[in-house]
Amino acid sequence: MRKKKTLFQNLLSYITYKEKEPIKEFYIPEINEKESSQDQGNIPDHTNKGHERNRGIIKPVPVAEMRKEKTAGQNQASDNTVSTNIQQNMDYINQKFNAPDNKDIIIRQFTIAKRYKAFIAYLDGMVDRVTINHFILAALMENDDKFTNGDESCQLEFILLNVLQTNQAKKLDTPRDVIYEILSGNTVLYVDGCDYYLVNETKGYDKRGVETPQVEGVVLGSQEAFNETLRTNITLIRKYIKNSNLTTEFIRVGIENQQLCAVLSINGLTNPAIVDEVKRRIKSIKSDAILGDGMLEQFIEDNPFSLVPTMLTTERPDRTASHLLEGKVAILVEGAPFCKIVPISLVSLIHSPEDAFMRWPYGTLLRFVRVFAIAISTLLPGLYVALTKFHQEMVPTDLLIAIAKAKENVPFPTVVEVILMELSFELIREAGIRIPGIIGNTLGIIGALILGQAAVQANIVSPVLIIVVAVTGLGNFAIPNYSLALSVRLARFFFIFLGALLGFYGITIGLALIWVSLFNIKSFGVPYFSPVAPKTSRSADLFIRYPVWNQEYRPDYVNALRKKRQTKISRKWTQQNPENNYDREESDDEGR
Amino acid sequence: MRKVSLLLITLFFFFIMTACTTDGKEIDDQVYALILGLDKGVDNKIRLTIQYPTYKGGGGMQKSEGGGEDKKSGQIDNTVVTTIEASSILEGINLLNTVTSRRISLVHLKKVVFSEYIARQGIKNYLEPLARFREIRRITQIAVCRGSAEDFINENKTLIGESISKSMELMTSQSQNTGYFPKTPFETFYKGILSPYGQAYSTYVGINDFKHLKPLSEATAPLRTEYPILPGEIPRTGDLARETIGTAVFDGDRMVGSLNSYETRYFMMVSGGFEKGIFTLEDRSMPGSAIPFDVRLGRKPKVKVTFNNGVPIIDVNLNIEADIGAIQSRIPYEKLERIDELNDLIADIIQNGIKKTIEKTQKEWNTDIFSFGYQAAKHFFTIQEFEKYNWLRHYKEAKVNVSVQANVRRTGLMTESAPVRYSNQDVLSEEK
Repeated sequence: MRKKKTLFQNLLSYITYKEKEPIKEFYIPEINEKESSQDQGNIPDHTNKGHERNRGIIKPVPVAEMRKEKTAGQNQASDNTVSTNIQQNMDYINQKFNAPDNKDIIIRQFTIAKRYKAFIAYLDGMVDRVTINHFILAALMENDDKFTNGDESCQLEFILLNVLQTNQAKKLDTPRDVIYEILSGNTVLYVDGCDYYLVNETKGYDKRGVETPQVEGVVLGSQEAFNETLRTNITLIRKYIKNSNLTTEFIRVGIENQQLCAVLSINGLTNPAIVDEVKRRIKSIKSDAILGDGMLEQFIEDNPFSLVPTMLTTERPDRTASHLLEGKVAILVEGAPFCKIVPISLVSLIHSPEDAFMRWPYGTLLRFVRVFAIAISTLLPGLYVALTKFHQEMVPTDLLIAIAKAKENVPFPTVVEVILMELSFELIREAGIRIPGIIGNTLGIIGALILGQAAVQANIVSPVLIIVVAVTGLGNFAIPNYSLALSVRLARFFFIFLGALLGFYGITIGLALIWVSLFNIKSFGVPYFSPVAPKTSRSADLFIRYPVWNQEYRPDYVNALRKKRQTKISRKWTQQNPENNYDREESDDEGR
Repeated sequence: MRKVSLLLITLFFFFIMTACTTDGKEIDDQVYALILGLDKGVDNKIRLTIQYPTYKGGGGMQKSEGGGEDKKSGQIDNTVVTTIEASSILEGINLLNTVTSRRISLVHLKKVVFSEYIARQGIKNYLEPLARFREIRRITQIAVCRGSAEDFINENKTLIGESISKSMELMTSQSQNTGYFPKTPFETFYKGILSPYGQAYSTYVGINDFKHLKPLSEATAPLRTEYPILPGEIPRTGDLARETIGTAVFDGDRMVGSLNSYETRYFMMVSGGFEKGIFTLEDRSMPGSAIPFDVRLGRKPKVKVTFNNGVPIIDVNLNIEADIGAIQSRIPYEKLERIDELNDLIADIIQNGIKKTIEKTQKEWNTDIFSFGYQAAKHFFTIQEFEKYNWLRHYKEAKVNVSVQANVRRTGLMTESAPVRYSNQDVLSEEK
C-alpha cells in the first residue's frame, strides 16, 4: 500500500526525476528475406507468447447456459453439440433467438421426398428470398425421384452433393457457429436424424452501392469508395491486388454484437509480426459492442491520449491497396465504409492518393501546399494574437495603423475577437454537416460571408481578423486527413491561448510541447516521425515525391519482408533500342 | 491523466513565473510615434515634438489646422503633432501620455530630428536614452534640421497618399534615386560618434520658404552645373515645405558643418552608398549646352591607405558608369572614336569634385566621415596602437590621390542625334 502523498510531495513528483517503469512495447523485428522464405510462419518469440496466452483464455459461459443440464449429449441440443432430433434443434434455435417473441427468425418446416422431416432457418430480411424459394425449397421438395435408396439414415450429405443448387454450402456441427451464420444472413438446413447442419449462402440484405468518395475526393484517380458491406469492400481491394497472397483473416469483435472484422495483409510481403500484433490486440478486446472501425481504432491504438491519429483512415480501395503493397496491414469492419491502415507515420497523413497518380512535380507541389496549410491552420490565429498583443514592432507601420483604425470601434480585446470568430466558424462547420442537403452546402458559404460581414459592421470584430480566420479555415480544409484536420483544429485553440498569454514565447513553448509529444508516440511500433526521426534510410516518397520509377524501396519503418519494390532500372525500355530506330544526324533538321 | 496534469502545471508555472503576460498591450491601446523632434528648451532642457497617426476612419479626413488656443498641437493629415518641454526625452514622452489618453509607443519611430542648434552644441545627452531604451529601433533615421525640429515636424505632411509613415519611408529611400542625401540609421550614426575609424554624419533636412524661386524674366540664364544646394534653398514652389538634401557633418557628437547636394554625392560615391543620380555636365565643345548623365558606381570604390614617413596617403579608386540622358549640342559623341571625350569629361569632373570634397572635410573640419580609418587601421598591430596614433586627429595631414575611370555604357534610345532642319538650311544625310 502506498502512503498518501501530501500536496507538496505530489507537486515535487512532477519535477523530479524518477526511474521509468519498464514497459514492454511492441516493435517490428527485422526479418531476413531468406529466412522468411524458408519459414514464413516463423513468428518472433515475444509475439508468439502473447498469442499462446490468448489461446489459453477460456471463454466465459453465459449464466443461462450454465444451468442447463448436460444430459445425454447425443439427443440434447446445446452450444457444442447438435442433437439428432429435429424438434430439439428447432427448440434450440427458437430459444436462442427468443422466438416466438422475436418475429425475425423464421423456421420453415417441410418434408423431403415425403419421408424426411426437415427445416430451414433464417432471419427475415437478411436473406435473398429468390435463392431460398427456387434453389433450396424447390430443389428439395420437387426432386422426390432422386431419393431412391429409401435409407433412413442422415440424408444431408446426399442432399449437399445432389439436390441443393446454392453456390456456397457447407456442413457445420457446432450450433454456436450455426447461430452466427443465421445472423450473417445465411440459411441453415437441417434434416432429421443428422448431427450437423448445412449452411447455404443466401445473404441478400439491402446495401448501398459503390459510390464516389465523400471525404477523400481527388481530381485524378479512381472515384470509388468503400461501402458498408465487408465483402464488397474486400472485393474492391482485390480488384487492385490480383495476388493469391493477399490474405483476409476474420476476427469477431464485440461480445454482444459479434461484429466481423477483417485483417488484410499480403503474405510473404507484410512483416508477420505486424499481422500478429494487430490480431492479438483485436482478439484481446473484451467489450460489449464494437460498431465500426472508429470504435475499433480507439480500442487498439497505441496512444489513446495523443492529439493526432496513429492509424490512417481511408475510404478509398486504391489507397488501401497501395498501403498493403507497401507492407502494411489493413483493418476493415463490417458496416463501416472506412478502412484503417497500420502502421503509419505522420507523413502518410499528409499524402493524398492523388500524389502518386500525378507526375512528380505536381505531386510535390501539392505536398508542400499541404504542409503550408497545416502550419497556417495551426499557428495563424495564435500568431495574430501574439503579434497584435506583444510584438507590434513586427507589423509594418501602415498595416499596424490600418489594424488599429479597424479595431478602433471594437470593444473587445483581440483574443476575445479571435475566439469569438473561431467559435462561430466551428459552428458554421458543424451546422453545415447537420443541416440537410442543399441548404447545408450553401450555408457554409453564406454563413461565413454574412456572419463575417455583419460582425465587422456591428463592430464586433475587426476586418483583418476575418481574413485570418478565413485563411485558417481554408488551410484546415486542405489537410487531406479528416482526423488530422480535427487535431489541428484543437491545437489551434491551444496556440491562441498561449499566444494571448505569452506571445511568441508562448507559441514557441507550445510548439516544443507538441513537438515532444508527437515524437513520443508510436503507431504499432513505428515512431511517428520516421523516417525523419529516428533517421532511417532516405525515403523517395516523403515530402518531395520522386518519380514513381525512382521509388525503389518500400518504407523502411515497416520492415517488410521484401524491401525492394522494383529493380534498379525499372524502365527496361530505356536500355533497349526501339524496333524502328535510326541514328539521328545533323541533316535531319534541315528544311524545318 | 498524469501527462495532462503535468502539462497544466508546466503552463501554470510559465504563467506565474514570467512577467510577459502583463506586458501585452492591444494595438489600439497605444499610439505609435512616427517622428521625434528635439529642440533646445526655453524653460527646461528639452523641447520635444512628436507626431503620431490618428485612428479616425480612413479617407475623407479633412485637414484641420491646429486648435484655437494651442497652435502647436493640432492635426496634420490624419496625424497629431504635439510639442512639450521636459527634462528628458523619456519623461517628456511619459508626460505626453497625460494628454494623449493612450500610451505613446516608440517601436515604430521612423525618424529623429535634431535642430541644428542643439546639434552644434553636442547631442550625446540626447542619444544616450535613444541607445538604451528598448523601444527605439536601430533603423530609425537620424536627421539634423536647418532651423527648428518643431517647425519641420509641423510641415511633415503627405499630399500624395494618406499614410504619413509610408511617405516618410519612401522619402528616405529617395537617397537611392538621387544621391542628394545619405541614409543614416541610428546604428550607423551612433557607431560614427563612438568609432575611432571615422566620424558621424547625418541627413540634413530643412524647410523651404519658397522665396528662392525668382519671378519669371526675359533675361538669359547661364548654365549652372554642380549647383550647390542646402536644405531650404531649392528654387521651387508647391508641394511641401520640408525638404531633405545634403549632409550634416559631425566631429564627435557636435555638428561642425554641412555638405551641399553635389558634395554629398561625391561623399557617397567614395563611401560606397551612391546608387545612382543624374549629373548635368557642360559640353566642352559647345559651352552653354548641357549633357545630363545617369551616373552610378560601376564597382565598389577601392580605398587604400598607406603611410609614407608617418604621413598617411589615401588612394581612392573609382569606377563610374554613366548612361547618356541627352546631348543638347547634338554632337555625335556616341561614336566609338568620340565616346572617350565624354568619359574624360565625366572622370575629370567627378575626380575634381571628390578631391575638393575630401579636402573640405580635411581642411575645414578635420572630420573623416568617409571612415578611411578602417583602411588605415590595417597598418597597426593592435587597436591600442591605432587609438594611440589617433587617426581622427591625423586625418587632416593625409595626402589624397583620387583616380576615376568613367565609362559611358548606354546611349539611351538613340545612337545618334539627327540634325534639326530649318527652312533656311540645307542638311544632307551622310552617304555610306
